[in-house]
Amino acid sequence: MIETRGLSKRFGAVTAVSELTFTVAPGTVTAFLGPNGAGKTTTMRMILGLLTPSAGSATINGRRYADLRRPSSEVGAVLDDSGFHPSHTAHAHLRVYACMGGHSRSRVAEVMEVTGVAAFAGRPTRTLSTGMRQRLHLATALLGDPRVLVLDEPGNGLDPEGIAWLRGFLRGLAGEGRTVLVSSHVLSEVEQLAGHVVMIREGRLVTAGAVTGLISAERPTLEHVYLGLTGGAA
Amino acid sequence: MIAYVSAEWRRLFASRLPLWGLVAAIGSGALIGLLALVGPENFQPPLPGLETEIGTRMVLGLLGMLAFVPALLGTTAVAAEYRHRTITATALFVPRRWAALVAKLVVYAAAGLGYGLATAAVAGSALFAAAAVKGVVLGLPATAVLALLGRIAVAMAGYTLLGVAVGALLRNQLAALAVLGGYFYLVETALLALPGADLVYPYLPGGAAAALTGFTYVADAVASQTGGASVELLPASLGAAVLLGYTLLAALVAVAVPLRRDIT
Repeated sequence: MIETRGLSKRFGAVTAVSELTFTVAPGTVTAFLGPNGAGKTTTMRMILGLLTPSAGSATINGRRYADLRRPSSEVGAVLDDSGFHPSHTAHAHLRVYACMGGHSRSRVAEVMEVTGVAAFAGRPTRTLSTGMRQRLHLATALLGDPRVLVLDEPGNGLDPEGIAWLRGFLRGLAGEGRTVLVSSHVLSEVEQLAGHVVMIREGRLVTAGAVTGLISAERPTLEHVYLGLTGGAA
Repeated sequence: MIAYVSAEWRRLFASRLPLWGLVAAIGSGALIGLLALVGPENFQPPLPGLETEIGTRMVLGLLGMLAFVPALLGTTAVAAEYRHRTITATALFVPRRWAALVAKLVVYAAAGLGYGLATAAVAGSALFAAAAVKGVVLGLPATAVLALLGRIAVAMAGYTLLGVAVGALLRNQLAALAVLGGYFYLVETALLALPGADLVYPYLPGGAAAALTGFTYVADAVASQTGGASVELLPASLGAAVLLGYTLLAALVAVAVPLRRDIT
């Protein structure tokens, strides 16, 4: 379970996130929605200990990320600006982080198979397509077989076949009782994927809850809900 | 910590950096062999030949000037984490950032020493070979030459750690390389031209390394050009202590500063 309480982040005079409180429960995919610049990535980075909150707290299973004993075994993350050493092969990249997290060589082979990285394991990362890089990011996140996943736009760069695969894959992980938080801009995709949503705008919480509870006769799709609540044109 | 060190080692050897390091080490060592073959007596201005202690020390001391190369490799290794954005994954796997930096320092101290030993081995072999080709008996006994080469290797390990620290502090790879190169090749040499600098220079990293390797050519050349007093370097053991002090300080700063930084 992921919990934020009064989470805030200021960069100088700019308030990126303001008193954000929400919970992401296990067993379902939770979509994290909001316009560009709403503070989604900043919030995810605070949850993952990459940014220090100006106020409030973010915990994973009751503990701050920095206090997790074996973080990669508890939380897997995909962040959109993360990169690879260009001369490392995909396999070498995974071996470095498996070693760092204390994960076995056989686990590297498993995640390569599951995510499709095995097909290009020997290629230097500088030669990989955007979709291949996304799969490699996902494979890195899964190295520790974590119970919590925090994924920032994981579908970016995937082809339709890849997106369909990712949808089934994430549903499967949530079905195993894992906590899955996914940010996305593709509302049609989110509607097929997520059971819950957390919606923010200008760093503040707009709404949070089950998708079925947000959809109504006046707002029959998640897109209507999103545009209505975030101030876009319906 | 063992896992982190092991991962950093694997990261290093999965890249091309060790290959470039080996090329640089062989090139540096071979350059010393070439200089020895030409002979200091044929330098401009002419210097005492290899058959003198000063001449042999001079040629080996030039190797100490190339300690800058492993420092650049150390800087490249850390700054590349920011340039290629692998720092995000590293911070996720090792949220205690000091531990990740300590692992890097351990790995690059070993790599720097390896670089220094490889360079010293090539340079030593080339020096002895050049002396044999010229039919000259070196002005230093073989044990003294080996000891000097060993000290140069240690200085290179220290410089590598300084490079790691600069990379961790500046993060921008080009800026870090420019600062490091500019400092060692321009700032320290320029400082020598200032009045009173002879008092400070022995305590700067370059001066301490020069004391460790017994190389005074640059300081003497600047003094003769400016008409200033020739620099009195520290004894080798004190030079080593000063260089160690800089290395420890750099390591401390490299570990402490990133702790408070946001990774954006």
